[in-house]
Amino acid sequence: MNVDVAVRCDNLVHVYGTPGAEVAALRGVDLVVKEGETVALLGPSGAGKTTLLWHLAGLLKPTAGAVEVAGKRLATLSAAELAVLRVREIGVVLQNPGRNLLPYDTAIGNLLFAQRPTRRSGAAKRRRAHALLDSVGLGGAATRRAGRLSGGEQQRLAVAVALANSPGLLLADEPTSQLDPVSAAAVIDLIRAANEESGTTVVAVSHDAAVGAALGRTVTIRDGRVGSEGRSGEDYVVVGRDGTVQLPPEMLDTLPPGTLARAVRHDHGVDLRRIYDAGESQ
Amino acid sequence: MTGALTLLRALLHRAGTTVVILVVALCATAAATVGPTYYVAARHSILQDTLTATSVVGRGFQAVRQGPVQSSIGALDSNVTHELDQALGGPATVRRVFAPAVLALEATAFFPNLGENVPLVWRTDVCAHLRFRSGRCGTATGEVAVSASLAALNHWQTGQRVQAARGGPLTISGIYLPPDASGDYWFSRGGVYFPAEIPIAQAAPYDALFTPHATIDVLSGNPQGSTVIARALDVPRVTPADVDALGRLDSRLNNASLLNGVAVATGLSSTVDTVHSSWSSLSVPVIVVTAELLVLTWLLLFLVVTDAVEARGTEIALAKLRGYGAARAFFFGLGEPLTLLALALPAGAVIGWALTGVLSHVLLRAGTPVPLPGLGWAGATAAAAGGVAAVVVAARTTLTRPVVEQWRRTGRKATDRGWVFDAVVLTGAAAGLAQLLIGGSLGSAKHSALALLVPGLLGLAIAVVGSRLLPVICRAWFARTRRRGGLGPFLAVRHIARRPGGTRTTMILATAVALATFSLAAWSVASNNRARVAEVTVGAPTVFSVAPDIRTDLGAVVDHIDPGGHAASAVETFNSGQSVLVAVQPQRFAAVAHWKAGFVSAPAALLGGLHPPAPDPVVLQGDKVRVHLDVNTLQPAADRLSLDIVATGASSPTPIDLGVITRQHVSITRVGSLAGCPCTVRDLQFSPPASRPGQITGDVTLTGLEVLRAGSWQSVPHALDAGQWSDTADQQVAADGNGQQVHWSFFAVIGIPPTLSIHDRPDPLPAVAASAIAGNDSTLTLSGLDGADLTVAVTGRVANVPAAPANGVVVDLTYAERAAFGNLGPATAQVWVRGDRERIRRGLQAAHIPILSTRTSAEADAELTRQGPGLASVLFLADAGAAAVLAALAAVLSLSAAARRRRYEYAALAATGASRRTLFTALVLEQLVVVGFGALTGVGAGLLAVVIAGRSVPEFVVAPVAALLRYGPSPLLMVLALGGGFVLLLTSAGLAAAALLRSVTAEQLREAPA
Repeated sequence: MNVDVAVRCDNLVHVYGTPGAEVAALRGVDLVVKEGETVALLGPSGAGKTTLLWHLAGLLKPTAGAVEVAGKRLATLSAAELAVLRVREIGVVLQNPGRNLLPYDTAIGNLLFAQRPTRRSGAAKRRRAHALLDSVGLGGAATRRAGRLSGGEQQRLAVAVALANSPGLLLADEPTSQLDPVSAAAVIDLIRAANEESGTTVVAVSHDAAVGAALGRTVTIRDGRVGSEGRSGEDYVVVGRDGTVQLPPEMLDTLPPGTLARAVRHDHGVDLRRIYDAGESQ
Repeated sequence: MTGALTLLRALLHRAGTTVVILVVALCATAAATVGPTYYVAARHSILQDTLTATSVVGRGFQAVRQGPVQSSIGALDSNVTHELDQALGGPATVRRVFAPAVLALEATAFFPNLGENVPLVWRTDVCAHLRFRSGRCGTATGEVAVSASLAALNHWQTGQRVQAARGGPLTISGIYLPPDASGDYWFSRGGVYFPAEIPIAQAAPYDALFTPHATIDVLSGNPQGSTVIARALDVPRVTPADVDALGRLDSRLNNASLLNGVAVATGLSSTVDTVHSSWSSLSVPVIVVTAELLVLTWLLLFLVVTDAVEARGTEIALAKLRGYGAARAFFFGLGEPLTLLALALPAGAVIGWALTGVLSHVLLRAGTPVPLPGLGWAGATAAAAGGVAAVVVAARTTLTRPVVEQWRRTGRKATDRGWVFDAVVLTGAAAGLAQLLIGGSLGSAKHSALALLVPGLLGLAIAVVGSRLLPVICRAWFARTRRRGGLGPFLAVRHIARRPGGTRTTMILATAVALATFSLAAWSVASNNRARVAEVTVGAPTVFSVAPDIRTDLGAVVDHIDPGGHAASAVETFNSGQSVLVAVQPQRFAAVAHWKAGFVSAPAALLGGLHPPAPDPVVLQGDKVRVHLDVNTLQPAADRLSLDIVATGASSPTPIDLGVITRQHVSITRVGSLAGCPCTVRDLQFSPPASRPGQITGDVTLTGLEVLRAGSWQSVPHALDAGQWSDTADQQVAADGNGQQVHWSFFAVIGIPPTLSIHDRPDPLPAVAASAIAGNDSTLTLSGLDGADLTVAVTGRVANVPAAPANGVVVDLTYAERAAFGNLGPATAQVWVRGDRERIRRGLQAAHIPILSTRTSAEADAELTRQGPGLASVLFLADAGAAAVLAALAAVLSLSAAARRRRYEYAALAATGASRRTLFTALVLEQLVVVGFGALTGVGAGLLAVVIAGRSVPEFVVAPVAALLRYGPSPLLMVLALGGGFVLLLTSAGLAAAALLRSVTAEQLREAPA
């Protein structure tokens, strides 16, 4: 067990539906996220990003493969152990701001609600709640009902709630999708701050380029597989467990789907060369 | 603390749902409290009513030992007290439930010079129960108090010394007025002590002498007599807990070895049986009605909570996402309904208690305590516990639903297993109905409170089927509404067809309405039947039992008091056990008696034939009577002639011997003495010599009948009128009168003397009889007012005769009195009154006619209402009310659920251009169809239940005559109540639709659809 690995997915497969009407959302995802990393899960709609995130939160059971979070294989945990893991290790921010909160409760009430399963004292919970509210710029809105906050304020509060129990892993699903640019930037700043100040590992699903740019690593999911990764501004394809490689879309002009290609080994890799009618490659 | 605040905010946030859940929970706990609390209070009321209504013998006992009276009371008292203590569990209980014992020593004092044997009595505290016309109660040895009648008879005065055979002279210390001996103190010994006022057979007509104990003690020779101990219950202090022990007292006292030779008279066991019977007739309806309401409220709670928890699905998912374990998520998810149930437990119990207090104040005996018993708390707790179970079952799906399914809204459908629930309910209901049918609880001849289960079971069964049919029917309307009818009907029909929640609401609504309909109908039927039974049993709005002097013509008095003829009627009745002769003033009786209650629509016409013309009676008033007779032929000779007359008040005719007739072809005149007249002539009779019994033939002419008055002979008026004499015996006779003479020829067989009878009434008497006793016979032989056989000719048949519905025979009072020859001693004299009874009472008092008792049909109705079945029937009304409230809640639930679901959709429709009128139409139609279908189904089920089980609902402790009972509820009441309910539902649907439409705004589109 590698303690510096926050998340590990081994050949993760997930099939939705009933027999006869299955849809494979994940087709063998291999992914390792180290502690303290910030990862943006990118990809087109329906690629399986959110499904992958729900697996990381322990909300789904893999059809095949395995998921480890904080060194624990989730499929082997009981419901109670999963609940404890969520309290201690996982914070989740959902796409819809309203869905993260109890609309009738106050801002501080929502933070206390999130901390209720912990064994902290009441005073400690309150101190933590106030500190978090201050950190997300809602110190003055502690007693306002969550339902009456603006969308941006609600999402900032949602981030605070997700961080209430100081999780090692912060999972965010489209955290900025329904926000104006200013609010979105504020939320991104909060997520980065959590990573930088507390070393929280972050995995965020997003279509927002700003989110991808703000996080240290991007993982692009296409057709239920990890298609590519971006690190330090550079994109890489990822070789699958079965040897498959998803070419970046812009290369499909050169190698359109259905093209015959010859793989040529080199010392540091493999070249793909297109085969034309005469059987010659160019 | 923060959790409590969050909970409170959540409750306020969902105020509508909170209120609905709270009200339903309150209904459940209150309903569960009302039943047991009402039952406990009603038991007390029934007990008190029964003990009060029964005679003192029924609520006490009297132990009498015959033998020497001196020094006998102590031992008897001690033995009786010992047995009482043993039976009731100790002296404290005995002292509480029984009034102090009344002891008595009853000897006799014989006055040789007067030839009178007069009761000489010592009785505990008797002086406090006598009123004195003069003097005082005796306090010293040898002092006696004598009654006014005895003093008048013997010309005794206060202070006078009178000589009795034993014990020397007695001093009259005072003259008392005979008291009302109906009080508990006298314990039905009024006939023993005051026979001059309360005549009973074989009693010497001398009222008792009351004297101190010491007078009895000094009587010489320890005279024989009765030693008496009487104890009556102190009714207000008797509680239901004492009843069983009191029921065993009868047997214990009669079988105790210590009381050998003591005659114990008590009706306690019979009274206790009556109490138990009344209790049990209430207990089952209480359980059944309470259970039905509970099940209904639980079902409703199940629906409300299902909806409420479903609405909180995302919050529960959020809690799980935040790491809430199963238990914590459970309490978070169900915190609101569980809190409301916890609140409803004490609040509902108190509300139920308060409602019972109001109900009891109106219905039960005044002063009945209404505690909130442990049974009431247990009921409320059971209701709350059932509510918790309903909540848990309702929330199970949402609580166990995975978080992702909640978010993706692709979870299992709520209706996936709905058919299982429906099938279970339907099977249970059908099985219950089958059990009732097979078990015989619904037989028309049987009464079983289990019949009360029918409306609930039937309503539920029909509602389940109906709720499944409604979407199918609506689906069938799809095509029609798509082709024409506009968007409104299309949306309405579509929503109903696709909405399982709606069908559940329909089910609850239909069941509640079925219960309400049946309960209302059952109450209506029971109250109508009670009123009818009370009216027909009593006979008239008010019945005075009176004691006219034997020389008083009660009919004439009534004619004088009520010249209009519509307010009072004199009535004499004689109950032989098999039949009741009701002798009446026909036209007055037609106006006064409760005929309509007995289903007789034209009593005046019916009774018009009871008094055909008949000669007046021949009345003799004088010192002697003289008979003139032409004896044409008489074989054999030496027959004895006698004239039978009946003196006023006499119980049998007195023959006046007119001597032996030895010759034929002669005119004779015979004289006899009269005593105690005026007297009524009954007949003239020949009797053969005792030594030669045989047939008699003859031909005689009665030429004169005279009385000697004031020294001169006067002809008796109308004595020889045509039709005045007849011969009713089966003999070859002919009687012919012309005003001057009566010609009589006869041939009498052996053993039946020739008798020429006075004809002063129709014979047989025309009569209107109850169909049950008359059958198809044209004549009936029953007992007349004098107890002797009387033949009547049935001229009319009625379903029910007032005061004797099944075995009454109504005849004319005048003729019935003549048939009894004025001997009305065995009959009961009454005056029946309709309208101003005080006026009649004053008139009777002015005529010096004592009123012994007063009975009103309203009182009888009230008494029936306060018996077990009567009190249970009020529960039906309460049941109807509660069911109506639950139906309304179900409708509100339907409306609010629709509102929540439709708001987003209708906002979208409004945004795309659908007119508000169209949306209003859609909403109103949807509500009308859902609520209206449920209500109509419920009404149908309720009425069907009335048809099936209406006759089986117990209405009386002692079943009355079946011909009195009707099982159709009051149409007016049903139409008004059900029509009012429908109007209310329609109005609610319209208002709810309007309110919902007002809340449909474009802002709704910003929210996720519910």
